[in-house]
Amino acid sequence: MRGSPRPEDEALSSSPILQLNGATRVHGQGSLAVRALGPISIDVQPGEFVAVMGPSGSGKSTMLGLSGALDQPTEGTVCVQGQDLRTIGATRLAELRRQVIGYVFQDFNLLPGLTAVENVALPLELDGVRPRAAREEAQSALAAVELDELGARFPDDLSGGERQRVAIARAFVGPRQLLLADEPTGALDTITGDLVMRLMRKQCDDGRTTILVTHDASHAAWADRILFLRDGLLVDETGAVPSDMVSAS
Amino acid sequence: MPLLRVERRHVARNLTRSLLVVLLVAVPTAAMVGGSAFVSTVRRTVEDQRHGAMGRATLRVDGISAGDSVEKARASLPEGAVAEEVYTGIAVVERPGQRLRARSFSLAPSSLAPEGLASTMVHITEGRAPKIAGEVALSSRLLGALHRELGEFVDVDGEPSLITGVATVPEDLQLPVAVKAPGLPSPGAGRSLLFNIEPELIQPSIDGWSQEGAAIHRRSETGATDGFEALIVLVCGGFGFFEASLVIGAAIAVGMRRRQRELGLLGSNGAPQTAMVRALLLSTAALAAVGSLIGLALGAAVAHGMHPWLNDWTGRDVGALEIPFSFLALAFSLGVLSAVLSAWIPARSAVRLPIRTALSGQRPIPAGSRGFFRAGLGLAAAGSLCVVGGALLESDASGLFILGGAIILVLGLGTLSPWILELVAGAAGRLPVPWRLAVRDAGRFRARNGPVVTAVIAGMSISVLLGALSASVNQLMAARMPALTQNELRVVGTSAEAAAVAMSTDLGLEGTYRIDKKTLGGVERISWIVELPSEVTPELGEHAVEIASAFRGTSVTVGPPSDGGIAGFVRVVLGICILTGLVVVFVATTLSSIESAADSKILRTVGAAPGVLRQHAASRAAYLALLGCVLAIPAGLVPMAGLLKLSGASLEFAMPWSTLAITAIAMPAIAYAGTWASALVRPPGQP
Ligand SMILES: Nc1ncnc2c1ncn2[C@@H]1O[C@H](COP(=O)(O)OP(=O)(O)O)[C@@H](O)[C@H]1O
Ligand SMILES: [Mg+2]
Repeated sequence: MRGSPRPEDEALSSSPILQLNGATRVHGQGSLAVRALGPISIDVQPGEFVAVMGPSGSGKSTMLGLSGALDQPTEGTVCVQGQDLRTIGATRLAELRRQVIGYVFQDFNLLPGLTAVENVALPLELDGVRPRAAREEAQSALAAVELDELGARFPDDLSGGERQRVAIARAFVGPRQLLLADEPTGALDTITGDLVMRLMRKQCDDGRTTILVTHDASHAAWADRILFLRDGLLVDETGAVPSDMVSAS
Repeated sequence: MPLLRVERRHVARNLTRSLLVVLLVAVPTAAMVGGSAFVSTVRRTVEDQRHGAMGRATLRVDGISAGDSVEKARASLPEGAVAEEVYTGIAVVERPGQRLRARSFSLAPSSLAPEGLASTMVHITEGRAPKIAGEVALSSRLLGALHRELGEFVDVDGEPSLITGVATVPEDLQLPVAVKAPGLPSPGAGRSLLFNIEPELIQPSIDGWSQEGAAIHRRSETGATDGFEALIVLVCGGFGFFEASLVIGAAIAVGMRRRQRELGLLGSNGAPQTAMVRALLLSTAALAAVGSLIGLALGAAVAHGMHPWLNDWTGRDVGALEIPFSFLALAFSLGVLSAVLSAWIPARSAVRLPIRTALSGQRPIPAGSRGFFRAGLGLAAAGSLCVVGGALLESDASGLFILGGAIILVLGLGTLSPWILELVAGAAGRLPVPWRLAVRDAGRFRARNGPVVTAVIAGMSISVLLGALSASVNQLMAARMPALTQNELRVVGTSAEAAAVAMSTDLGLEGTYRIDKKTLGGVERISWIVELPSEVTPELGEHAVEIASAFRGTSVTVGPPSDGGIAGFVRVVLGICILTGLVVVFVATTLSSIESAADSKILRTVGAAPGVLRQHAASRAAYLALLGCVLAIPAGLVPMAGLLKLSGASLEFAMPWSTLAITAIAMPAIAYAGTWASALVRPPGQP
């Protein structure tokens, strides 16, 4: 079920989709300064599935926030598709979020006022796609997460697992290539969590890129690469876990 | 105690919402204090009525025929008692080419002195009272109309007279007044005697005068109280507090929703429900008390600031500013009480939420809106019926019926609003994202948004009502006296045609004249319009007045007709009401932006551009404002139509298009623009 790197991935490997270069995030100033992350340098290639692990407070969410421009580094640079996030304005950042970066959070972050299919279509509609076309595309994104039946429901009428799958469909809808997921299975039971992992793996196999923050080693095992953080620094990095270990778990 | 500490921290941390509660209590308190001070200062009290009718006297006897009976009465008066003689009638005051009529008084200067019995009936404000024949004191308006000043001469009742003073009737500042020297009444004037004695002490004389046909007025029997003004302040103030409580309730419900998890946590750690509710109510009461105090100070300050203008507005001398202290206490307690009452329901329902639901942060599934539909429709129908019934009944209670019907109608439309919100939310699928979210969320939180919409309806319906009144008054004025062009003069009266003919030639210009007929309330009014080839200058106007004065019972008007100040007053009140409506709309706006903070954050993560985020916040505000304003139109027009029907044929209903445009278009647009602009300052969705 997990593919080896495909030819086009090799060709693109010279231009990483995400690049952290000495990225550092310090909260506060002077004696009260808290170093939440870094300096840290990471390259993520298109099509990669990267898991980030580490104890609580080790800077995982901070790293994800920097990668998606929800937060700015105090030192170093963060580049998405070769663009330094610090150098682009708010309008272009919004465009980047509509067209390149998708987020999934532990608490789903769906708009309660929109139906499932409208939530998925949201980035497309905001990007100027015709409502009908956006809906059709959203519907097929929902089908990819096996939720095409429930498109007309509102988030309040969905279970936790279903909500998270809608969030994943939204994160991947349209041309978006980079999924940033912060403990997406944290609020889900094991079976639903596994289903969500399988969906993310499938998206990567289709050529998209995922960075997954997780506590759960069995979920991290779905990734191509695992980064370990401690006290804001990268302390270890492993390649893929052999597939027989995954099937054994 | 720990619960109170939690509350105190909460008040400090959510300063915007806390200040909102303070403001919401302060505004109606200030209005009530200012309003009651205004009313009790302006009000024509029984004592004012007595001063107008009989000055300082305890007894007034009208129509005594023979002079000697007065001398007899004076002689029989006990030590210290006085009787003063006053003639009142109509004087003709003239200067060449102009003839005016005035209320005339003829009395001794001593009666006009500060302790004189007539001094509160008519006043000398400048110069001195006339003492001998050939002297007169005139009111300042009359002096202005005649272009005369102190020390100049006019003809009074055919006698050339020196103007020695300026006279005023405190109860009617607009009244043209001529005070003449004692013993020189205008032709046909009536004679009165004023006494400063207890009537019982001269009972035999009184009986005698009665038999001669004189009219006896005892001070104790003159004048009548009516609690009407106090009732108006109470009703309007009550309405204000009702409106404020609706919004406070909504604000507190929003706050509760945001604290749902915290309340769940407190509950799961064993805080008793009653203690939690008590702590919430106490903190609200404290905020409300602060708001009430600010309101008291503000209201008193506004009343103080308004005082210098009151004489001009009311046309009478209102005297010193009166602030009724009983109303201060009432306004303060109403402010605190309405805030606490409006906090009670959301506080109780938030605390009663099952702890597990509260901790999960989920919103309880809203109840269906069928009940709102039935109750709202029922109330709206009942309110309209009350209005129609009141208008058709034409009894003393009609006004009360219409007022009550109006309030019930507002409540009914407000109760209906959750159902409308749900209905519109169901059809929002095709709207652009910001509007779709606004409409859907308003539908999801319909129970909480209902009170906000009701408050907007209540605030704006008064504006619509006054707008309709103003439009009707204007229509009446236009129908009665269509506006003249700059080249025209209007001549009315018994010899209007002859005067018009004279003017069209005698003004030295080649003028034309025509008849103008208007039927108003079944009566045909005829006037003549003289059209000149050039603009009517002030000199030409004066010349025309001179010509008209040559014809008996004929007068001429130049320029736009005066509406007696009614339209101006209505316009001022209308402006205040629109401002109040704006405050309510602004509050609704603030509330809905607090609501939309979470959604803004999500929108930002999926790549909504800054402009879309501003639209999102703005469309929520505009939607609630729009719904409230649109519903305010029937809520204002129906009672006004009823009131106008009641007023008889003279005032006819006119559609107040400009007010409707302000209500239905400008208000939502202002709500939209205001939120949009504030989102520029504080971009929504920032972490
Ligand atoms: N706004 C902030 N102010 C101060 N310190 C912060 C802030 N946000 C995060 N931190 C600190 O940064 C460190 C990393 O946090 P985070 O990235 O959320 O950790 P993780 O997601 O790995 O649990 C923590 O020690 C946290 O206390
Ligand atoms: Mg984290």
